[in-house]
Amino acid sequence: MSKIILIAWISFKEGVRNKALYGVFLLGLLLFTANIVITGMFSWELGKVAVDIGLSVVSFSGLVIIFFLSINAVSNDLEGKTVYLILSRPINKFQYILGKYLGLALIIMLSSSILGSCAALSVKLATYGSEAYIPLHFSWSTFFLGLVFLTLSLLLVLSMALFWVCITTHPFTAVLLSIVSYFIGQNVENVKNIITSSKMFVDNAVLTKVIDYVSWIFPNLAAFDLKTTAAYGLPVHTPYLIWVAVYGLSYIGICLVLSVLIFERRELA
Amino acid sequence: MKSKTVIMLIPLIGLLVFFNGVSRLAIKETRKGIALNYSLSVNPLPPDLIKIFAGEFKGLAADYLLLELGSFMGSDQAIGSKNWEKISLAFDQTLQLDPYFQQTYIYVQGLLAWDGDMPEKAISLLDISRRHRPWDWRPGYYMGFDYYYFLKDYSKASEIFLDTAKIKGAPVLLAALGGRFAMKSGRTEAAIVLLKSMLEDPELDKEGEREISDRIAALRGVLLLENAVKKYKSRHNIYPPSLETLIEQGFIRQLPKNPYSDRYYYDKEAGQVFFDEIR
Repeated sequence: MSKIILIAWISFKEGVRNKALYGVFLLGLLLFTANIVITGMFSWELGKVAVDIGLSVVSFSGLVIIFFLSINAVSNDLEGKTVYLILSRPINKFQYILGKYLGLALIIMLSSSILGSCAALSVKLATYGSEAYIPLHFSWSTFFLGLVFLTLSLLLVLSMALFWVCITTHPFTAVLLSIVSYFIGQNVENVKNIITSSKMFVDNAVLTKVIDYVSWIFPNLAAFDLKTTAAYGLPVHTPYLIWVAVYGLSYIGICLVLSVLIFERRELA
Repeated sequence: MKSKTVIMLIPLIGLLVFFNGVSRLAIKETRKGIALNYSLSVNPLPPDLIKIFAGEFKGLAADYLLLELGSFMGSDQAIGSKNWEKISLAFDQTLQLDPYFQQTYIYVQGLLAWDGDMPEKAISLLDISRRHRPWDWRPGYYMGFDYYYFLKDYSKASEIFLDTAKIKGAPVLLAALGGRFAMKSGRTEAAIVLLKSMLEDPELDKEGEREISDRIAALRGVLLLENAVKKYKSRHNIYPPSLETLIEQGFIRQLPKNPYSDRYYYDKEAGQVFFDEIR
């Protein structure tokens, strides 16, 4: 366990030192400033627009970190043969994968905390003096709940990205596959709903079956999306949230186990 | 860097800044006309599919579409029927992306129902907001208004008004309006039942209680008189010439009390009874 933590800490420090991360934070801060300006263009429920923008920026920045920093960090280890230096020490391949994931996950959590706090601040500033135009049931607890589930979905995407890196080792292919998986994950539920409710597809048993299988293979990322709930303070049901959390954590677990299995079988020499 | 190179670079930068400034002004001048030719660019994708492209940023996409619509409407140009179709599609897409947003339904009512002369479309879109915002009485109020004012469908108007009046915080006026349109559409009995159930609301204040009780009393009077008119017609095959005839011929003992006036109003051509002069 200590070895996993050590690798996680090294990966985290490496990631934090990466100057591109500062670029992401800067982008986030610029967008939060824009939040105040854009929100001013609306006349009703300004709080909703501010939350929409705030949480979307957190999510977008997290995705940029995953697709362009995290995948690169692992691929560079594999392609640049740095991994040999690590694995020549008494460290197992599975410890390396889990450590790497934990380190990168820490970066995502750090990014979500910093940008999430900025998002909350931008919501506060954007709605300052316009309290009457904040949605009736808006609450900060739902806002932070939205942030927590958004972070969980980013951690899930990160585990998928790690899985693709372990399969391909090539950063570009891994990024491409991760983006496609993310896109499918975001829309699988929606597409399934359209297909099952549309008369056009009602007789297409093959398509229905395919989409059914896809929905079991790819994660339903839409389930983690509580931005609308947070923006309006819509009621949230605790059992539902628990199930979503269990679903997310178990999916992350599956991705990590598969990544370890693939990495174990990989010939590095 | 040598000082000679720096000296050479300074005029070059100055020259570049000059050209940049001039070209910027030229571009600005050319683009002035764009605002006049500004056209609404709405993706022709069916509303269902737009969600797929927006993914988790659907709230943001809805905000963008509304801004685009607001900016187009603000350009103050004449809008043809083709553009109204586009505007209607854009609202549809916005509501698919975020069915909760207040600004969307307020735009829908202001633009589609009034300016675009598309009350049916406005009603169908307002219904989406109404279903997603059970705490908000305004979408239902707008729907009821559109049914009454644009479509002259008093039955639907009364149904929506009475349903919306049950929402916490809704003005008592909605119940009164619902009762009026129910009477106009021959649903007086149903309106009385609904209004009576509203009287049981513990949060109803004294003023609201009085308004609803008055409306129930007025509707009861209308119902009693209309039933007597119907009986008279079935016996004599014509409507009675006045409400007093009903007393004279023993259909009723006396005229019921009207909380709004000293009498009831009667249209002898149509056999309809009203509690005030508004038809």
